[in-house]
Amino acid sequence: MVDRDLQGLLVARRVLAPALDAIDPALANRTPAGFRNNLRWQLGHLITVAETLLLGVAAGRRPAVPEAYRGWFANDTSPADFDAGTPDWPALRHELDASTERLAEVLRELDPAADLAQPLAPRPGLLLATTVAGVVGYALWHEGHHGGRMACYHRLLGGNG
Amino acid sequence: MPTCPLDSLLTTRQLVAHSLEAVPEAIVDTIPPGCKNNLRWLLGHVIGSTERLCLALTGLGEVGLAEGWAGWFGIGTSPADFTADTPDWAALRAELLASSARLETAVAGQDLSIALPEPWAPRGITFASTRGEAVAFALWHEGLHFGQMMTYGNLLKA
Repeated sequence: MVDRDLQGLLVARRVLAPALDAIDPALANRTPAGFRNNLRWQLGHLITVAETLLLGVAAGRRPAVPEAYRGWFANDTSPADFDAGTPDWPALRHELDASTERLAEVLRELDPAADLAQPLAPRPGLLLATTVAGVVGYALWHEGHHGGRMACYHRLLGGNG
Repeated sequence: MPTCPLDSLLTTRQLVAHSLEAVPEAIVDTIPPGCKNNLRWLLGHVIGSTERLCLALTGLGEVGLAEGWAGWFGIGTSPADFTADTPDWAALRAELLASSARLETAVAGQDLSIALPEPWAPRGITFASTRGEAVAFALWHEGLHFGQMMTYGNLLKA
């Protein structure tokens, strides 16, 4: 079942991709003063969370990005957790496109009204979603949230746009 | 129980409202170095954009905000466009709650699969061709600007 309401993430990616291409890769590893993370972490986090929410929570499959992504890019990680195997900016930019294709496929198959096996409740008192549509909606907001942070980081590092 | 993008928008607004409680009012008018706007502009911009997308564009209602809102908070404006009548931080936070109530009243339970009179494609990208897509775009746009707000907050409280 194709539900057009679920396709918003794909529109968001069409806005995000050219914005990322306008970023000087030399800025990707620089942490703006006063912050914990950098653009490289933000992009890896955005990819990891979208895969976890849509492929994992909504579709009940395994996210296709390597398991190691969680150790580099999950909540509460930072560039201090990076190692020699952590993808660099061009590799992440490539992974974003590959991931978008995977998500497009899964979004075509999801039933928005289906209940989740378990509600999405990251901490007590915070219930984010009980249905597939709710997860997709939260993923869309999260995607915007980190896109906004990246736009700010880029400006703070002296980039334009 | 989110089942449509409106529910997600109202749910994430609860997260946002909670985060905004921790923002000291002293920083809301400060434009961080290198940035174009401040927290007050971003909050007003989000409220105005979401009402325009979810109510006016979908045809489900009328924007319920003060006249002049687009002149203070529309695309391409900045805090330089503020006047004595521009809502302050407390008024904006109250408006966020009032606006959520208006959105719920007008949009909840409506058929969001209905096509817009014409696709909304402001930058050559079709952002929305149905009501639901317009609401979904608003949800992403809210995330985008609240991400910026949280970044401004981190920066200015540091």
